Order: sequence, then C-alpha cells, then structure tokens
Amino acid sequence: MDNRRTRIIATLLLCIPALLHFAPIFYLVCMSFKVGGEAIQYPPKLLPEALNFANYHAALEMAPLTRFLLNSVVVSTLMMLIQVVTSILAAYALARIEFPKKEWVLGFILMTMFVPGEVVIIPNYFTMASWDWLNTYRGLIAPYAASGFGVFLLYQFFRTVPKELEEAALIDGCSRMRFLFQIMVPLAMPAILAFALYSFVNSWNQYLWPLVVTQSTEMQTAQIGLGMFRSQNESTSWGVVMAATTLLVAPTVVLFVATQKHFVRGITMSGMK
Amino acid sequence: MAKVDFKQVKKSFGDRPILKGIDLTIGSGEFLVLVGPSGCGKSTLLRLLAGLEELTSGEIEIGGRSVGGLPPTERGIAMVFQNYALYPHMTVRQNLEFGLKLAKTSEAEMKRRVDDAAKLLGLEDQLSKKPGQLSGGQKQRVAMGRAMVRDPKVFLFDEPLSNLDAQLRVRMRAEISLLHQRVKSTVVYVTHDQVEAMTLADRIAVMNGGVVEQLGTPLELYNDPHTQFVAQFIGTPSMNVVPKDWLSGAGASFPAGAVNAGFRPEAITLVPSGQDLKLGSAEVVLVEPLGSTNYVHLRWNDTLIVAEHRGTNVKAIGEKCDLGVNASAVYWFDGQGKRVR
Amino acid sequence: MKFKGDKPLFVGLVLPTVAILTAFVAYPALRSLYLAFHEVEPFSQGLAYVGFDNFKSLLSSADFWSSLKVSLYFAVITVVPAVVLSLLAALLLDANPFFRGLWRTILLLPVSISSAMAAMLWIFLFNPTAGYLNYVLDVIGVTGPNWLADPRWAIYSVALVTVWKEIGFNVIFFMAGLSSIPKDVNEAAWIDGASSWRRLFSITLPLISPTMLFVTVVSLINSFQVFGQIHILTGGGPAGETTTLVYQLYQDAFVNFRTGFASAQAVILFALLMGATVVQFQVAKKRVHYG
Repeated sequence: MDNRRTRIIATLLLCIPALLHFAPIFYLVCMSFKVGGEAIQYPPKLLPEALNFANYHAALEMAPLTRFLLNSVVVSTLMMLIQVVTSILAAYALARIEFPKKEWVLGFILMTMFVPGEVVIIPNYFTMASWDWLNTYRGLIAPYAASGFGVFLLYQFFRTVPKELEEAALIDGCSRMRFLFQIMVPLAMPAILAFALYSFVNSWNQYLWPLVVTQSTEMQTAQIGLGMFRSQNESTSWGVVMAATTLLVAPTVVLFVATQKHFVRGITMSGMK
Repeated sequence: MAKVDFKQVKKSFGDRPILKGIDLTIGSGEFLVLVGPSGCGKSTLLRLLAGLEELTSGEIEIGGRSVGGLPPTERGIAMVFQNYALYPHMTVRQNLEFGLKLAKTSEAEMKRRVDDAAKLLGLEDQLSKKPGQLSGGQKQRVAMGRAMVRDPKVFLFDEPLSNLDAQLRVRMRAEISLLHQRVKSTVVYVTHDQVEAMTLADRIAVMNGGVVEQLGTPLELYNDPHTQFVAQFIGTPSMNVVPKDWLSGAGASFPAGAVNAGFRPEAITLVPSGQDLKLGSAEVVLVEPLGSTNYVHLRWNDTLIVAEHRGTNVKAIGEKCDLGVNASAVYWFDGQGKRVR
Repeated sequence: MKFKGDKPLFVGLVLPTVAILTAFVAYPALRSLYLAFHEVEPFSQGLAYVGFDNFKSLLSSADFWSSLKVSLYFAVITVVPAVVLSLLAALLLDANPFFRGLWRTILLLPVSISSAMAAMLWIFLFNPTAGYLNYVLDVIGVTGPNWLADPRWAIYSVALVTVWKEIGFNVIFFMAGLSSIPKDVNEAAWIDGASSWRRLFSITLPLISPTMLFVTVVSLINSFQVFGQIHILTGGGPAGETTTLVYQLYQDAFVNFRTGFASAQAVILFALLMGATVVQFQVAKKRVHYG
C-alpha cells in the first residue's frame, strides 16, 4: 500500500515538526559556545563563531556540577531500580493471582496516579522530617519507591502472556516466584526496559521534591543545581547558563536517544492503547 | 501407567455449574478421548485432573491415590496445550530440560531423556533453535517432548492439534497414535473434533452440558448412540433427524414414545431398492464430490438433508430423485432426545 | 488457577507498592482533605476546625475563579494541539517515510528534557530583543509580541513550551496504537474501494479510539498539573494571566502559608481531575471501539 509518492509526502511533511522540535535544542547547544557579546548581539547569529568551551569551564567553576550530576545519577538509578522491582511484583500479583476484591487494590493503585504531585509535597516533607530523612538519598527516593504507572503498564503486559505458559511451568514443577523471574520477566523485558527508562527520566527531571527535601549543596540534584544559575540570571552571561543547561540535559537526552527504540517497542508490546 | 478415577466430580465457577457429577474410570494404558461442543466441560475436567483447577466436590484418583490436594507437578501427569505453551526465550533443549532441572535430575539422566525424546520425535536437529524458529508441527512435537521427558503416568492433551492445518493434523494424529502404542501411557485427550476422537480413542466419552452423555468405543458410539445428541455429534456429515411422521407414509413402524427419526447420510439411497422405506421425492440442492463418494444435499419436505452417494451417476442440481432409507438403519428418539427402540 | 499459599503471596507482592503509595500518596491526599477543613492558628501553630470556611472563602475568592478559568483555558489550548499534532505526526510516521527512525528520535527528544530545563531554554528563545523566535518572525516580516511579558501572549507562550514537550510522549502511544491495527482490515477496506481519506476516517481513527482516549486523559491530567514551566517562565504573571489552579495552590501553600486554604484547592483540583476522567470514560463507552 505504501507507494513512493505517499512516502515522499510523509517525509516532507515530517520535516516541519522535526525542525520545530530540534531547533530549540540546537539553539541551546549553539548558545553554550557563544562568549561575551556574541550571545546578545542583534541580529542574532545562530551558529557560534567558534567551539569555545570557556562557558563550560565557567559553569563548572561556578557550581559543583559534577556533584549535582553524581547525585542525580545515584538517586535516579536507585529510584528506577526500586520502582521496577516493586512494580514487577505488584503487577504480577494483580495480573495472575486470584484474590478476593483484588480490583479494589488495582483501583487504589490507579487512583494514586490522579493525585497531583504538588498536593503530597507538604505532608511528605513533614513525614521525612519526623523520620529525620531530610537531606538524604533515602529521603529523596522513598516517596517515589512505588509507581502506579509502572504497575499499570506491566500489569497490562503480563496479562498478554498466555496463561498456559504458567500452567505448563507449574506442571514442570516451577513455583510462582520462579516462573515470574525465569519466564515472565525475560518475556516482559521490552515493557520493563520501557518503564525503567521512563522512570529514570522522570526521576532525573524531578523538581519540586528535591527542592524541598535537600538542604545542602552536596545533596542537590541537577535540576536544583540549575536553579543556582537562574537566580544569578542578571550577572551571569547567557552562554554560561546555556553551557550548564547543556551539561545537565545531556545525560537524559543521550540515554533517551540511545534507548528510545526499546521504549517505543515496550509501549507497543505492552498493549497499552 | 496408571488408572484414573473420577468420582462424582463437580465443578462450578461462581454460581455457574460446569461439571454436574462426573463418574468415569480410565483404564491403565487406555487412550480416552473427551469430546463435546465448546462449553461442555471437557477442558475443565482435564484441568481438574491436571490440578490447574480446584474441585468443587468429588474426588479424583490417579493410580488409586487421591490427588485432591496435590499440586500439578506431584500428580505424575504431563500436559500438552493447545497453543503449545513453549517458553519463547529458551531453546528447544532448554524447554525440554526445564522440568527435569527443577526436579533436580542428574545431568547424565537429563541428557539421556532429552536425547531419547528428541530422537523419537525427530527433533535432533532442532535442539538449539528457539520456538519462534520452528514450524507449527515442530512446536507441537516439542510440546509433546516436554511431556514425554517427565515420564508421566498420565498424558493430558488439551486440543493439541487445533492450531495445525488440515494436512499436518492428519499426520500428527497418526504420530500421537504411534507414540501411544510405543510408550503405553494412559492418555486423556480433549478435542471438539469427532474425527480426531474416532481415529485416536480406545474409548470416547461424549460430554454435553457438564455430564458424560455416553462412554464407549468409537464403533459403539457410532452404531449404538444412546441419545440424539451423541448420534448427531458422532459421524460426518451429521445424522439427519426429522419428525417421525415424515416416515409414516413409507410404512415405517415406530416404537412407542418415538418423536423423531434419525438416519445417517450413508443409509439413504437415491435409487431405492425393494426392501428400503420409500420416502418420496426430493430436490437436489448441492452436490459435494469428494472423489470416492459424494455428499448430496437435498430439499425434502422443506428441510435440508444430506445423503452419501457412491458412484458416478450423480444427479444435477435442481433434479428430483426418489429417496429411500434402509429400515434397519433408522434410529428413533423421544421428546427428550433419548433413544427408543 | 488457584493454589495454596496464593493469598499470602499476593499480599506479600502488592504490599511494598501499596504501603509506599499509602504512605506517600494516599495519606498525604487524605491529610490535605483533613487540612481543607482546618486552619493553622497563627500563634500556637495548632489546627482549628473551621468546617467549610476554606471552601466558602475559596468560592468567593476572585483569584480562585481566575485560576480555575486559566487552568481550563490552558487545558484546552494544550490538550487539543498536543493530541491532534501528535496524532498527525504518528500517522505520518506510520506512512513509512524515509529516515523514519530519525524523525521519531527528534520528535521524542523533548520528552527527556525536564520542564525546568525546557523552560530555561525557551526563556532565551522568547526574549523579545535578543531571542531567536522574534528574529525569525522579523525576517518573515512579522513583528513578534513580547511573549512572556504580554498578558495576551503569556499563556500561549507557556502552552507552546508544554505542547513542544508533550508531543513526543503522545506520539509513542499513537504509534503503538497504529501498529496494533491489523493490516488486513485496512487492506479489506482498500479492496472495498475506500479512498485513503475514507480509510483514515472509517477504519484507522475508530480503531485507535482507545489510544485517543488514553492520550487525551493523560494529557488533560498533565495539563492541569503543569508547574515547572509556569514557575520558571512567568511566575504566574503577568497580571495572573498564567496563574493556574496548581500554581495558585503552590502560592497559597508555600508563599502565603495558608495551608487550609491551599488544601481546599487541592481537594477541588483532585475532584476536577477525577470528574474529567470519569466523564471521558463515560463518553468513551459509546464512542470508543475496543477489540
């Protein structure tokens, strides 16, 4: 059905949104190399005069960016791993084990997705304070150790795995947990990878909670660290801010570009539609 | 090899009764086929035997031992599923080994059993492939191999051939038959295809509405059906059933209580001879030539019936012909569908 | 399938998720509900029960009604373009264009960028004098507005950033939905003589209606919860033109420290989101084709 003409038209039409999507990011990177008056001259030039890394040096000197990045990597990785494990366990139980009124459990988990993140920040802050978990990795991670979205996504996927597979495994003498980790998890890998990526990016991009729960500079994550540049907006050159932004955006963008194939495949396979 | 006993087995899902008290004994080494329309409870009965469902009441014994509380793996059974249920991420060898590994079988023993099964099923060259790379027939063999290596007392088959094309189905049917002759295990085989049932079974249990309508050898069921349901379910094309009065003109004498008359397509003659009941004239609507025989669809008294006609002198569509039926091949049924003699 | 030990196993498996969600989502949500009926006393810091007072003063507050209006308007101008444009992009990607992977990657790029970072980036694009956006408009002969500082344009600026960021996520789901349409259905329609347009409207769109429902619900919920962009781009201004419900809530909770008042808004926000979802599912019952 796909003749050459439709393919060419589709390709040409796609250039427009692609350009609109890519231009701001390209602009960001270009700006990060502009030094001095180059950034604010008029009419503005898109491309920098040279690949000048001075802004990057300045940004790294102004704030402990590597520490921010390290914190973000640690927190996001742990949060992602814990979310993946808790979601796999709950999704499997909900998809495969009979339990009276289990749709209420599923309903409860789905409901939590509707609670606006801003609503829970204040009470959670007091909970963390009373546990003395403020300004710790634990405190950053604990409230997000479970994910309603993750449970829902994996639940959808697990239900597409034929029941007979589990029955055959049971006859083979396989326990439920063994089936989950030796057969279900390998089969659900695309969906699990998709969720892992989503969870990592989400956690990396968290803003309000790390802002509230971290107190010292050495516990702050990349998102909060960027705030240091924003507050000094007036005195800092745009180029330096853009260099810092580029550094802090790069890890997730690179990760996403490298793994988006799995992400798309996982969502497709999960039958989430 | 073990005998299997179902004693007053009942099963309901919620308020819905699926099995209404099944009593059935399957002899050691017997090939028993459970056959019936979808929803008759045949698969549920098999799954109860496998331990995949819980009994509502009654008892199931394998080899004289009650298996009520036992998990599937401890019942000495192996099962072949309709969709094969092969582990997609494991090679054929790993699929065959999986159960043995869990049972902590020694490496040497495992290798011996897997190689034996692979040889028997002609899978030697496929052992390192994954299920996705196999054809339907090969997947079916792997599923059977996985059951064989467990060396079960009872083999359970749940509609194992329904995902295969017609030609392959006939071949696999023969292979299952040969396999049974070789391993001599007890087999319980579920299908909705009565041809499969007839060709494979030592005995067939025809199920309908949660009960066993009739249990017997294939020929017993064919020649001596106890109910109209069994009579119509066994045999292709299906037995023709018409109101008994339609035969009264031909001078048939019917037993007391009879409401309907049934006769198989092969009992009809299109050129009636002396001792046949003469049914009068019918119009040919459709002819299905099968080579060795023909199925002739006829409109008779405003209903469609099917006759089997051997030979080449087939009538053309629209032609009239005189129907006759062998009086001794007519079955009589009462209003409840019970056979009356 | 049912087995002995299933019940304790079920409890054990769902317990971590349920416990965490209870402690950090359900409890705070209920706590907000509780706080909505209380007021923090300025000196003792104790809680005083005030009944529906918070809701009453909320309903008579012009700020609240204005923020509700802004939220609803913002939802319309973000959800509609985000759903329509991502559907168009997904349809184009489904038409097997050349360099398909490249287009997909580019469209998905902003998904990986946080709202804070995206806002930082756009601030410079929006700059009326040195920003590239108005320069490009200038080149094609249009005088660009003072995006973020102009009360008429501020909300569209925030919406633009939001749509830019959200589209990629929706595209993924639409692509998944489109790829699940069996090829033979389309081919059957083709043989029946249906034109490409006809096929799009009679086959493709009805068959991905479950995806549309899902994407719309998620987009709507997200649009109501937008915070980072507003905080960084406009701070709710100018003249409250971009103060949404969530932003007003944040102001009352963290800036004005009116905890009970803010909690009452949280309750209303939650009720709105639940209500919108229920309504959409009701509509969907009639319009959406599953299976």
